[in-house]
Amino acid sequence: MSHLLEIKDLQVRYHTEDGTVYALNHVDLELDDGETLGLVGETGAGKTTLAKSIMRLIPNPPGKIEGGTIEFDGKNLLMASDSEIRAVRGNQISMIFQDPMSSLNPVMRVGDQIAEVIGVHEKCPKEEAKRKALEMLETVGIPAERASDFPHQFSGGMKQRVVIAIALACNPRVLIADEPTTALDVTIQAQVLEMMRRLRDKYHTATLLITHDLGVVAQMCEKVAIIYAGEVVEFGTVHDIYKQTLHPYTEGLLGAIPQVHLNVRRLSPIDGLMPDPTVQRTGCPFADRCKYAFERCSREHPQFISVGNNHKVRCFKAEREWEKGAKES
Amino acid sequence: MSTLHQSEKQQGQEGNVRSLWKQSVIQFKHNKLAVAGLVIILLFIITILATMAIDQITNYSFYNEYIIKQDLSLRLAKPSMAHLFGCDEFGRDLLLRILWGTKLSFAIGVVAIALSVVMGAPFGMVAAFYGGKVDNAIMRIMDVLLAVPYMLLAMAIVAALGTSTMNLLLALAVSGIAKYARIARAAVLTVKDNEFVEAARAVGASDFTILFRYILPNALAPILVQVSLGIGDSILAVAGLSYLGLGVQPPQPEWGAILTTARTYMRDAWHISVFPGLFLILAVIAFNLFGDGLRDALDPKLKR
Amino acid sequence: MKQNGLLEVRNLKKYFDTPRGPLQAVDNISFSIEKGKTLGVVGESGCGKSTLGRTILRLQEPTSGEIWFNGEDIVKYDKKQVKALRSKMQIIFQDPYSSLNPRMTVSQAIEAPLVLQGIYRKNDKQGLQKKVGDMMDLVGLARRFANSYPHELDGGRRQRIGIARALALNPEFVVCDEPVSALDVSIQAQVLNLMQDLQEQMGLTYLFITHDLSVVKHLSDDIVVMYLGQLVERAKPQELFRRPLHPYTQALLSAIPIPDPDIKMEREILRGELSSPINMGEGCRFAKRCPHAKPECARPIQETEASPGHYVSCHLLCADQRAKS
Repeated sequence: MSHLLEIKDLQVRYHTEDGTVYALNHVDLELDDGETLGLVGETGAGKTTLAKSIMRLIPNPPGKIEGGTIEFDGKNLLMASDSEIRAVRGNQISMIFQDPMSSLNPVMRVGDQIAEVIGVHEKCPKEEAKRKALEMLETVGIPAERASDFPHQFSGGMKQRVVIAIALACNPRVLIADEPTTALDVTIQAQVLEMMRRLRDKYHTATLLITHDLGVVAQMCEKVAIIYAGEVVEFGTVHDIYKQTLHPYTEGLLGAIPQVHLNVRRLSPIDGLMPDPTVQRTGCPFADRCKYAFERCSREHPQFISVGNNHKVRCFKAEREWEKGAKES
Repeated sequence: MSTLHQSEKQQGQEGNVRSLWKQSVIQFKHNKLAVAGLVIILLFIITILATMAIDQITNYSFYNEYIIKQDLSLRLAKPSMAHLFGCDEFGRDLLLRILWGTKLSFAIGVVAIALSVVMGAPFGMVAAFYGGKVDNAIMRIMDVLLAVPYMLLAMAIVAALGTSTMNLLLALAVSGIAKYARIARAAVLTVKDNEFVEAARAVGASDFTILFRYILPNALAPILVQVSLGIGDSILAVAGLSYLGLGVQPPQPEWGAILTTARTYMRDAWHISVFPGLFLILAVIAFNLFGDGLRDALDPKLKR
Repeated sequence: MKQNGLLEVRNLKKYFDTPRGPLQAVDNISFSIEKGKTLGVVGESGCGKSTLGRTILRLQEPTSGEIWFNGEDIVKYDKKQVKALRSKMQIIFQDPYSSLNPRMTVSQAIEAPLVLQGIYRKNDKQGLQKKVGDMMDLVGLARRFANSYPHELDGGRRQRIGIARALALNPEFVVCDEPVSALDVSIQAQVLNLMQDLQEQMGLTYLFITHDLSVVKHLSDDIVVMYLGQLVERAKPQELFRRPLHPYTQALLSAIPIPDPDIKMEREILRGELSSPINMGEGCRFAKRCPHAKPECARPIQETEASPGHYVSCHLLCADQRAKS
């Protein structure tokens, strides 16, 4: 079975004066048509680098994609020419960023901003593009008569709706949403998430939802990838990840978040910090912080192995248990 | 805290503890043009020190003999091996006059800017820090000063007080006050809304402490950059005023003053205007390159 | 006048002048905090929660109202008294990046309050060094970072410096203004636990300001919910989460995404956007967005005690209570 978007063994590095930053190390990821995949990780884990790699937006220098493939619809995006990639960007794959304030042009009317994207990609007459732009605005819940307003006349939540309208204007097959609701208040976040869910059902867009919020992922996604220090350490369905957690880091993350529906007096944080990304290490990057770590963990680098139906993990402990379980049955 | 011991061990980065200033120095060194500017400035400073040293050692006999004393037989002599830049209208060696002129050009330029900053910046800082009515009152006065063109103001002051080096200095300094007040105000405004300023207030720091210990060190960078760029302008202004006859008086050597007399002989002796002109351009460019480099090095936004 | 608890706020108001009229950032707020307890203040951006914290510390001058602390109304304090008060009341800021002076080392940042308050003399290098070391141990910061600059440290460590600076003066009361919202989840838990430990060790009283209900739930003894400058509900956390009464609290609670795929949320999505409390009328400020709004909501509201210790400001509930009785 081939996937809509398939990333294999992706390696991205930033070469800076202070040394090489190993931003992404052997990342494997797949996204199917109409599916929502949550990409969860902390600051510096490589979430945004991954998103930018798919769009080929890594600034070079200092960044460089040093290996691997990103196949979209059977075609390797890393081999595509500049004009080919421009045709994909915004049209087939679009992206929304965390900060709605800086992703809109402050001196252009929002209606025109949407129409421009449609005009560029669908090569349709101006009137047609305008009409579609108004339709898009209504779809994201903004009255069409506000199309002639400027971005500063909108609130944060409304701006993010406009950004989403621009991203979905050309009916892309993949939407990459980089922390789309992090800058918003909870009640506004709920509105935007609800709208995104509605649009996904309507347009059947495959979505890569990048976030650090495990709550948002649980409520929005079918599949989840957990990323740590530039590698995907666990991948599976939401149920796999939340209920049959295998990787100690995922377990740690779930334990560290305060939850409204549980009564805990004390949180259990993950000890320590993310490893220095300028150091290439031989062992598992999580070994230093892992409470289950044994000798092999700091010596060898674990493989990304499949443990059952599409549940993959990069951990020796999980591997050992899986093998034990397989022998027993 | 047991939770930390592990993490503290894994990051052994004590070795490269460096302050923001040190980082800026490293950043600056990467900018070749800026370093070139700095080298040129240093060469000028060495020249100044050397000429001063010679004057001291020879008790001005060298100065009187070669810089001041006229030799009409060499009047307007073209450049030659004996006189590399040729001679001026009184037969004095042009190269030596230019080298000796560096001191006055630079000294007036630098001191004038320093005075401008010292007199102007505190107004801007106070205006920005207290805001409201204080800000309005101070900045409107500065606006009045700004409304008068820089050069015109300087000319008016010199004309009123009489031509002397001290008055020239004063004129340039006063005409720069408003500019540096504005720059300091802008710099302080961007810093004062940071939470660390509020944090300082929350531990009981006085306004004075906050202004000088918390705000000034963080606002210094843009002010420094403007100063380095301003020195170039200021040297130009000294030359300009001397050129108009309001600056350094003959027979003292100064680039602008040399240029003034050169004007008369432009047709017959091109070298008298070209060489001091080149030095002036070189100095201004050097300060501009240095200032640009300084801005890039000190601006944290340009850092990765 | 007798005062309840360590700190009691009575009818506190803080208005700002804007071209469109007075902005009522904090409007007629009253509450009290017992010694050693934590009061959680929850609200969305622009609700005035940060202004409330700063006004209590007199970092901003209150427009009117009383703030009783240790038996005295600190609103009446003069400049000198306020300076002395700083050693008893402290604040921890949200942003560990902008709340530290980038040109001061860790030890300079922690020393500053001690010197400013005259507890140590500036030239008492040995005493200061020992105290700074003790503070760094207390907040779990390795002593070798003493001469580091903030930009060399990660967010979690910087926030620890912020905590050490605030606690160096051994205060009784600390305003925590979103101390963990800029941090990653795993670091967030470390810092929250540290703050809980320090509260027990030093007997601290916290005013914990946050937009995240789930963060305050497990560490607060009482929670107040703010909307556009006013308190809409206050209760013990268990009670508030089990039986939220105000429609805004209900919406706020239902808007939190639960990190469990098996609990599908019954969302009550609010219409409309947050505005700022400028030129507010007499009535309920939430009425514009409230799914249950009725004409009577335009009338002024009184806080009512719905059940013991559970206060709410809502017309609908008052009507319910009247109907019951």
